[in-house]
Amino acid sequence: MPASFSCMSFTIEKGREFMQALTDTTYTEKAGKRKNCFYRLGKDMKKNPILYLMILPVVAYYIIFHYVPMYGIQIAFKDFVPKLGFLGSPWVGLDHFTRFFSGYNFKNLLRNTLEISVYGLLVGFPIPILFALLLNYLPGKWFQKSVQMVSYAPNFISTVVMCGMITIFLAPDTGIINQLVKALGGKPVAFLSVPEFFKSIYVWTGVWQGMGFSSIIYISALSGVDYQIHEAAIIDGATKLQRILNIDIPSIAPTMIILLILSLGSIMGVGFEKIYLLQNPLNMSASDVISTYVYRVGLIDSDYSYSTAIGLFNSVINAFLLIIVNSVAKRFTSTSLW
Amino acid sequence: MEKSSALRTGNISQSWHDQVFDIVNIIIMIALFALFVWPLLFVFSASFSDPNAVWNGKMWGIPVGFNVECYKTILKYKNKIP
Repeated sequence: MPASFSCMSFTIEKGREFMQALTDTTYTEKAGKRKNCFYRLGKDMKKNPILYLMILPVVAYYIIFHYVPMYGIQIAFKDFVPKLGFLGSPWVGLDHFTRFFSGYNFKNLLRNTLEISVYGLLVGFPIPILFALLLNYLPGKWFQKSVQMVSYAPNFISTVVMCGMITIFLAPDTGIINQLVKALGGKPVAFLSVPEFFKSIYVWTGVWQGMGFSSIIYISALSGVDYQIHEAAIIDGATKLQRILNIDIPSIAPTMIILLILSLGSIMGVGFEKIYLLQNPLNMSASDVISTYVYRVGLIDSDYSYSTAIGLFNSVINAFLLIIVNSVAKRFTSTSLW
Repeated sequence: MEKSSALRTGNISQSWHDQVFDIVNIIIMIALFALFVWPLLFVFSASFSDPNAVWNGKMWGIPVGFNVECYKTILKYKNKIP
């Protein structure tokens, strides 16, 4: 087979090249004459131009849409007046930050944001794992597949429709949940106007919507577990629960840690849309989070500098959390993002 | 993932632990299946039902007073659909 043969010789050649490069760098390192990274990047670019061409659109996307707009962050430290532009507006230092921290609703905003996201993480992180594990041990392929398919369905409902469904289901007189409560002899509750219920409604509907889809990654990790280990365990008399605890969970632990790091990194960034759509004046004390406040202040009251300052504060905290969690994970588990 | 013949044919009998696990698992999954399907089915059926029946809680999953009025209403707003 000439095709596979040429492919093989190609890989061998590549491997040799790679080994050569490896010895090259170690040699230069030993000699203490390690060239700077731009020189090495240029050399590598000459060697693999196609690979760099392939990554070019991604790099361009990040530069154009993520790094270039960052120059607008400066208005967090300025008193932005649209007429004067970004560069012409006068500097005010950290005024907007102190205004936010000493504001009457700062504590409430921070508490709501943290409570919703921590609650969401505590509930939303383990449930897809449990779901994947139970699904993996479900007897009957057909039943397993149909539960899996059905669990994906809510993920494809858009946030607006989802919030419409929540509002209809929880309506005080006509909603299906209250019909159920009435049928069981209870008193109807206006769920969305009670601040105490807001966080639970938000988190559990989020779980309903997302658990099937986020369990995909765990299901695929579980299917990668070597069945021989399970076989050995079965022959040794392990029950299914013991197999879950001693084989499956250790095998998918790296996946779990990576996903935990990623979700902890966005702990301050509670999704804006769903909270905004479920918000009403009656549950405001529990539903006002930083992102909705930024929207109200920045886009409705046109206080651009102030809302940029709040957004920047939020992002900086997120970035720090990501770094801290990653270094903790690196230290204790040898699994980390970088 | 190749199961050996003894495991595939079930010649190794399951312990009562595993039987309890399976039963609990199946019950949980049936409950979840209903929990996933029912709200979607409700919304779908509500779109075909008589609005009064839906508001009065007569409709629990199967359309009551079948009609397609709401779809007709949507299609009337021709200029609002891009």
